[in-house]
Amino acid sequence: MAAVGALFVLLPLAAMVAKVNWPQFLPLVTSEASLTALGLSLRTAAASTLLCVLLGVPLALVLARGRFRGQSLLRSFVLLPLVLPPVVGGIALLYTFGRQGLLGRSLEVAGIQIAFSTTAVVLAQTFVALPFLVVSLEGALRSAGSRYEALAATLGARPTTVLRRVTVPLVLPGLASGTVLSFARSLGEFGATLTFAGSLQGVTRTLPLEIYLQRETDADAAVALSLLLVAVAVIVVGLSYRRSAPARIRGSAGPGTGA
Amino acid sequence: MFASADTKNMAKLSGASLIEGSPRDFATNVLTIAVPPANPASIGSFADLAKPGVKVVICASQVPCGAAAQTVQKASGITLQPVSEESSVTDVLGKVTSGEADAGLVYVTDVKTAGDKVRGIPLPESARAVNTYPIAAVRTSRNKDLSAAFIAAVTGSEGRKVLLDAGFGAP
Amino acid sequence: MTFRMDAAVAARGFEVSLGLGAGETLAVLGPNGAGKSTLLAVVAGLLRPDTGRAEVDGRILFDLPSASRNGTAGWTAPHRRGTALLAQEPLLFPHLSALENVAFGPRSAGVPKRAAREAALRWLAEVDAEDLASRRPGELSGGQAQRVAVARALAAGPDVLLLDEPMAALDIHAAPLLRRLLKRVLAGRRAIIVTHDVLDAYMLADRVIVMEDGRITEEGPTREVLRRPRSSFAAGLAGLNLVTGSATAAGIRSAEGLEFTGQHDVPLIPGQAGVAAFPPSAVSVFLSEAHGSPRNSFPVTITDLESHGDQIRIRAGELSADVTPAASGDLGLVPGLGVYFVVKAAAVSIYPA
Repeated sequence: MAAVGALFVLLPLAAMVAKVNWPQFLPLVTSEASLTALGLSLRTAAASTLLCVLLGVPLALVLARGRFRGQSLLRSFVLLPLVLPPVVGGIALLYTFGRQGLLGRSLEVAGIQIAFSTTAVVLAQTFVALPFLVVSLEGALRSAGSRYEALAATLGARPTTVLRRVTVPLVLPGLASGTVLSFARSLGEFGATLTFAGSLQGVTRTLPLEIYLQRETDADAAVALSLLLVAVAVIVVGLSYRRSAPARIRGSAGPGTGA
Repeated sequence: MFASADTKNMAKLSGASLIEGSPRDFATNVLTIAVPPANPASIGSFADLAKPGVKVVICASQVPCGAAAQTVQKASGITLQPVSEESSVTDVLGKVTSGEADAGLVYVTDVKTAGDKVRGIPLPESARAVNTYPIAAVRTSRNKDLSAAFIAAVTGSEGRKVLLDAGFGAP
Repeated sequence: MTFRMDAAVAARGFEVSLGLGAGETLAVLGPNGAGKSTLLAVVAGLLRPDTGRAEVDGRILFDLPSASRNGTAGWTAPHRRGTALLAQEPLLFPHLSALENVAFGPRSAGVPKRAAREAALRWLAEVDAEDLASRRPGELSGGQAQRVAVARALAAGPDVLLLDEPMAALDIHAAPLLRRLLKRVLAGRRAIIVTHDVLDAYMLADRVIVMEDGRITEEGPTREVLRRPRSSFAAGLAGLNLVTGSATAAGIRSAEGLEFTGQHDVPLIPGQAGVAAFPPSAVSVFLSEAHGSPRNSFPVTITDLESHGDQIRIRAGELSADVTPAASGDLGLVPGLGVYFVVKAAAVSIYPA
């Protein structure tokens, strides 16, 4: 069954690779539109990953360590974008940050316009990628347990010291993989961006949107760009997993046993 | 049978000898300006779309409605600075109905379908970029009689009436 | 009394009142679920009791008056209590080296990095683990890790050291080594050690309390409590064979002239007072003397047979052996019968008393 599972993922990729027009590959992926889209994708994905870390770390801490009413409800809502079709997320964002939206009206008064801007792309990507960071980090926090933290406190470490010297280093592998997943998800984001941000070269047209558009007229370009996106994703995920693997082994040496 | 929203795709099929006989045009469609019902940017003409601060959404030039928008711009000598170039006309319409955009270039049929969610502003310049819809029977069809009957219905008076009601023009 | 605590945790049926003198080590014995770990958590500040008061050397750890009594609640956070905890598992921070683990307490107290490292090295030397300084916890054996954990707890300079079954997770070879280490470092130190091993109480504690169902059922100097157990739990514990006598080159000679050879890691000075300890489960019963093996074998007369769990405990004066009911029947063991108790030297621990 494992082989079937692997094939199920690999076969469509192989089929796509087989469709690539290799003599034209380089010109296709190095066209101005393609490079602009790739650059925009990398920049926005990096920005939204940063935003995910800033928002997701406190959220994961509260979910893993806090004990309060409505906690499981909060978790369900935070994870909602995982199961929502991205276009639904885009519509929700539109009604929040859009011109006629909940916050958009006040923002517009303050002179901030989010619709059709690169900011909108980053918001859309953050919305769909945040759960990946929260889930990974909360899992790491839970499996690390609070016993190290309690013990550190008895050794005289104040809560901020415990967070800095014990909690964060212990969950670093989980944070790393969560960050990578968020980045990868941001990179692949399409539906929410299309709905919420629009599509304009250099501003909001990320690589997935460029692929979708090229598909209309130039199937070869769409396939070539798809391969480029796959390559970037594989490189990002591969690199960070290789780097975080030793830390993961070290991290699991201690807390594996016990109550 | 095969019906297309532009002649380009039909030409591809004809070129590859995939259709029976020559295609027949059954409808035309032209662009118009769609604005939110309140028309916040007070759009009254195509030239208004080029005013600074007006958020216009059009189709990307890769798709037929975008190609038509390019033609209109070229013919009128007015160049737009769109905030977004969508890959489908429904996405353009969506940006207008949600109020994100001040105006969008869509087909007259789209404004008709959208009901009171958008208002159409006449666009005389669009006469220079009429989209013609051709229809033809596919050569390999196993139901040649049925497809011929359908094409006759679409191009006949009954089909014409339905199409006109939906906002299409006569070929 | 320089440490004094009264505390109640209603949800766990826990109500305890105890005191501890300067330099005194208290052993807490009791069955699982008796509230021993709750006791440590309350002292360490990891669990907030409903009511009670605790202070150490005049510092308030908590002061939580009952609703009927007036007064404002006082609460000292765990990191300000000076109650370092040594748990059953070493819980060394996996991302820090052994040295950095030991330096964690001093660093948290604001000691500069260099001085903290030097202090950590001294404590590692104290537990014979200097050579492990640069190792990661993942590269240490269970016994080594627990030794480093001891150094880490001591380096924090606690006013009260809390030990929660520190030997329980160690194998039978590592446990005696750590026990002797603890005997050395706990001497003259104020500590509370939770244990289920009566040998720990004998070896490490000045006083012992026995807890059952969240309350203290027995309390007193260790030897006294275990000599005349009143609680059923203490009576069960008292089964450990302890033979006092004078040291020989290889073991202990009892007053009756019986020789016990056993394991010891400090050189024995012949003539010095010492004790040999071994559990009844390590004692085999034979009808005739066994020859040719390095085992302790001595003739005894059975005084009593009693059931002990699913075993039969054979008593012969001060000594006892556990055998299966089947073996007891096969051998025809009855009070008055002369038999040989045999125990392997590996199962006997020899301590200078």
